[in-house]
Amino acid sequence: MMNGIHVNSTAPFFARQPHSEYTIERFSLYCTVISALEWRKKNGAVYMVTDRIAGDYYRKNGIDKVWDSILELIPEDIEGIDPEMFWAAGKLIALRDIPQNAALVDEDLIVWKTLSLSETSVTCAHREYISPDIYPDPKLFGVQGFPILDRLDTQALPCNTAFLYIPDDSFRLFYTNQSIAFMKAASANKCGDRLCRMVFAEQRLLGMLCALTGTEIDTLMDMNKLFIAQDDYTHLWGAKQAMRDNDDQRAAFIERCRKRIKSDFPEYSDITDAIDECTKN
Amino acid sequence: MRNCNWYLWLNGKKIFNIRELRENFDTAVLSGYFFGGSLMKWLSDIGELNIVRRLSEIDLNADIGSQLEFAFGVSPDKKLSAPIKILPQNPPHPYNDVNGSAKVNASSFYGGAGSFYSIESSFAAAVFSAGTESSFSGSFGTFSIETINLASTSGYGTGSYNALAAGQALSAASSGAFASSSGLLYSFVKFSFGSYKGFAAGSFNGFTLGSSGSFMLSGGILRLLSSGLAGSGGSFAGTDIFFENGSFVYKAGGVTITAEEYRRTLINLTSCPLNAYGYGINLI
Repeated sequence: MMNGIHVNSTAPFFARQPHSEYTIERFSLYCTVISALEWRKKNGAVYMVTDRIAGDYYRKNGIDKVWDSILELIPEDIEGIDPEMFWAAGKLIALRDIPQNAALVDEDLIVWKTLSLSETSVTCAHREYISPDIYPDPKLFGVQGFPILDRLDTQALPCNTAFLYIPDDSFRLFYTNQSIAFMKAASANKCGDRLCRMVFAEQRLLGMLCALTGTEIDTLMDMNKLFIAQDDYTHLWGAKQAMRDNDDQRAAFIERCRKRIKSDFPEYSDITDAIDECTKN
Repeated sequence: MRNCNWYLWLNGKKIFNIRELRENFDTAVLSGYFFGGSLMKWLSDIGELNIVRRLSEIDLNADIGSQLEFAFGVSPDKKLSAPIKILPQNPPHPYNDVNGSAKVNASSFYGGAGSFYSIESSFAAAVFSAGTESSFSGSFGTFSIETINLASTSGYGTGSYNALAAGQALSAASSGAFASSSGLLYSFVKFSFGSYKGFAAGSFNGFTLGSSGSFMLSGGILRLLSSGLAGSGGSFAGTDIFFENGSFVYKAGGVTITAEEYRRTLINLTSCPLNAYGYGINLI
């Protein structure tokens, strides 16, 4: 059995909506709940690593029962990292600070099977190609104070970290420390980039550091076959934006989720009402 | 001297104690551990509290490298990296503010070197009105653009692209040759992050047939536009969503897709159009 973690930091939400009451999009929370329940069913314990605000939100609304426990490890200010540029910084902080090693599972990723992962290699969801619109030359970021960059292999393929398991605790700390250091350095020069710097810090840097240290990388999926029908993984990925843009698709997805929870997890069927009550559509 | 039960990665080696650290002093990586937050923990775990105290007094506005050397009592000839100084402000750089307006005054727009990237909002209202001598090339092609008007291209053909509205798929038939080096027709206009990367380089590439791309996404339905496919192993004529005209096996880059996989994929897309943006969503 393998422990898993979900991660949620509220800092990006409040950066976008500073005076709002915290909430989560309904379709997103439905997917999170199924992801947690399915992980517990097939793989082991799952924990929500988050901050105090989200922890309170889950508990207040009765969502917390889908996880084995909630760990409030993430500081609300995400250590001074710009939450708009680095909206996934909480994942790196959580991965650095978890007391016991665990697989990081994005809340929009559902694993439908029992995993058997390497205890020597890093396992990520899949590799990615280096598209220069998404992964430009990192030197173009102009970030000062990140000197390791000069040693990194720019040909190393990025790792999609919708799923990530790093069995070597020391390498996990090496990766998360360098990533956090980059985000802190880059945050000193706030800019409108919401993508390239983030995926560099989270995904490309991982591939580069594995190359630097000779760490092997396994993947759950072949990056060339992501969109070919399979039965093992669900990843909402860009569908989140598609659902924001399309009411019908969003409603259809939510209905799918309701049925799935009621059929597969009848003991949690009342959670659909709780989700509908505490979320915005 | 106490060994730590976890190591730092310095100078290409696993470092378990303070002697090894001093012998392999590596300012570049060490500064990452310092700013990343775990250097103090490693030192505390091995009982080097005096160094922890010195590190806590580091002036973040001064040269970090020399302060790290001082804190660890390392002579300058041991250091492996150039001094690190955190500058208060980056010099102006055209890539540092991608929310700003993007102007292509030089009528030249190359992406092959990876020099161009952006986010959706950067081009939300932009119109690319390139001159007739413009170039538009590169291995990318995923754009979050509301409107694009590329008058003339070179490098990948001379097609004309007019007023591609948001959500409107780029039509290979009507738009001429718009090709990427990976053979994928990028028509996923509304993607803001994530999955269009997958489309750009992922498995859509696996069943993009030919060098000019033959698929478009329209209203969530995958359609086949082109009547002639350059892929190996068969041809397909039709505009229906199902692959009906004979068996087809596509092989490229080590990826093989059978007709059955292809058919199943399209059924998944039809039953759950969201699969065009993520994967396995039909499984819920």
